Amino acid sequence: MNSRERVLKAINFEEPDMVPISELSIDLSLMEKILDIKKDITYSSQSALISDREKERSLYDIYYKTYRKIGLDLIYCISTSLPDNYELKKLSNGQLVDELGRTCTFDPTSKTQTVTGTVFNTEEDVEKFLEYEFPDPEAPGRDYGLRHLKKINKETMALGFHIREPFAQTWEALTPVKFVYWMHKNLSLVKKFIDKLTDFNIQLIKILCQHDLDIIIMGGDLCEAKGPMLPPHRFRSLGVFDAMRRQVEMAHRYNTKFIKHTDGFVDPLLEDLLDIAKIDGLHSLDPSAGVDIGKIKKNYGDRLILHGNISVDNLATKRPEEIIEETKNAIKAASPNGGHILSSSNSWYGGGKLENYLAMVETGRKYGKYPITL
Amino acid sequence: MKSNITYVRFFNIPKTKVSIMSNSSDILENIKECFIKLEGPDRIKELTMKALDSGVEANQLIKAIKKGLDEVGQKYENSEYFLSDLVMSGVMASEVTNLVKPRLQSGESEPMGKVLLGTVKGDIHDIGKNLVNNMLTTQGFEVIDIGVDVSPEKFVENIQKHKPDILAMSCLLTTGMPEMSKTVRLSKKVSSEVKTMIGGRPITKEFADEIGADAYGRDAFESIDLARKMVGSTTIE
Repeated sequence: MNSRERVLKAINFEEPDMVPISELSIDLSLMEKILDIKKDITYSSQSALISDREKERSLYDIYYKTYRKIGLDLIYCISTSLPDNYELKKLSNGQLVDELGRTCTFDPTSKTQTVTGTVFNTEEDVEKFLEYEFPDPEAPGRDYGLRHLKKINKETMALGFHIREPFAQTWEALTPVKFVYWMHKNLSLVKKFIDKLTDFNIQLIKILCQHDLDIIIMGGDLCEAKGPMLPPHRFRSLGVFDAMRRQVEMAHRYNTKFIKHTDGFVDPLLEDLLDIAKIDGLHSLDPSAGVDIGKIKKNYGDRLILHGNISVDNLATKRPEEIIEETKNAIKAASPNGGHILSSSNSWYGGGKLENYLAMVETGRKYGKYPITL
Repeated sequence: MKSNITYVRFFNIPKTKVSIMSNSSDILENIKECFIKLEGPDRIKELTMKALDSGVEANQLIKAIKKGLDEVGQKYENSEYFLSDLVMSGVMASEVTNLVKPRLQSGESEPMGKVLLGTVKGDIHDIGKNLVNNMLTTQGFEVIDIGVDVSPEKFVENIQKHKPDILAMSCLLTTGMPEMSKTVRLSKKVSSEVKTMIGGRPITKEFADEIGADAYGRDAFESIDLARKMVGSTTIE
């Protein structure tokens, strides 16, 4: 059974030969370490930021080589591509401005760009952007990176694509303070932003799924450590779950599974994610926030793919022996009957310990053979 | 009403004063309730203006906000309120302090303490830090926010420059943890008086103890309580 077949079995709730292993992303600084190379590429998992096609191809070459070297079963195209010939805006302080007006700052540890601010100051700024400057999902080139990754992957690994949650992107584009303030004062404006991004994503999914994607994973957090970032009724009144379902439905037209990522304590949103949004799977299952993968497996394991959940905090701070134990426990709790993709509870962060990440993969290979006997 | 009459007789206070006091106390109660119910920035501005126009003293207003914020914090701790509610309470508190600040008399405007605040080196996230800044400022602390990706050396330089009572550090990523440890160590070398408080997603009480930090704040609200304790003001007057 090859990697892709292993993943396909698992996401259809069957037991493959062994538990598939993957990561949503690995930071460039860590991939450089793994492959013993140095590369100068500006990119982000939160936004399309590579305007140089050669560098974009180079990034996906690095991803592919790294995933193969480690022996992962599923590779994600980490970001939508910018349209052909797009000129990225740069502020005088060096920050990049993405297509949604978010300002991005370089993080030297991960060698990636992180969204840290916005260019919008007033409601009028946002109205103007939504009316006249909103990006076109059908602009040629948005699938450039995916096409390259598909070409080099040749179906050896399962192929996934990382898109981002309209709510999370709006939260970032407005900044939390303005999001909350305008949600109170001008709800229709916030809703309009989310709706436009939803329509954008639906068109995007249609384009991307034509490349035989196995999985769409939707990044962007709905929760923090204590629980949902908004009261659940607010998510509903903003139409977040309905919007998600429309995206799920588009993915399903192409037989592509739809997995939602969120950090934090997701339990209070599980019913809405399943019953309203109709997602196929959940990623991260953040144990540091108190998510119990065994409990979720017991309650929803026959209809929810579980993608996780070795604590990203433990991977960065604990010893390999502790990671081995944690991985064994996760396999024991989540892998029986398929439906489990082993991974960290986020991604492999540049500042983490490589020996721990590798211990997770080795343990997955050693103890993840079906039937699970742990 | 009966108790008011007794109060007047006992303290020999003129009836008109009682009427103002009663009015003030109603307004302050409304302000506190407005916070607890998160009625929004416009409503809190309206109530604050009304209070100031009615002669309510600025420091009384600040105390009412503190009480309101404490209850919001409690509700967040109990999972009745959410992150967006915390952000909203911070927005509302800022509206009040902006209106009230110019009216504080010099004696009243003495800060409760001075806090040096930043996100540690290797981390550029600032939501948590900004919330803490907002809450502490509203509570009467002078906050010197030196931003994100702050090296231990820069923290130390600012400790020497500003002589804060408290050094507060935040991080979202685990890579910030060794930087916190180094900063705590260096800060103790340059100042025996500065107290250190740390927080952020990967931080635990055990970690705080391990690196010798004086306090660990689970969230923005706990950091307020801790800061108050550190400067010797544990109760709201």
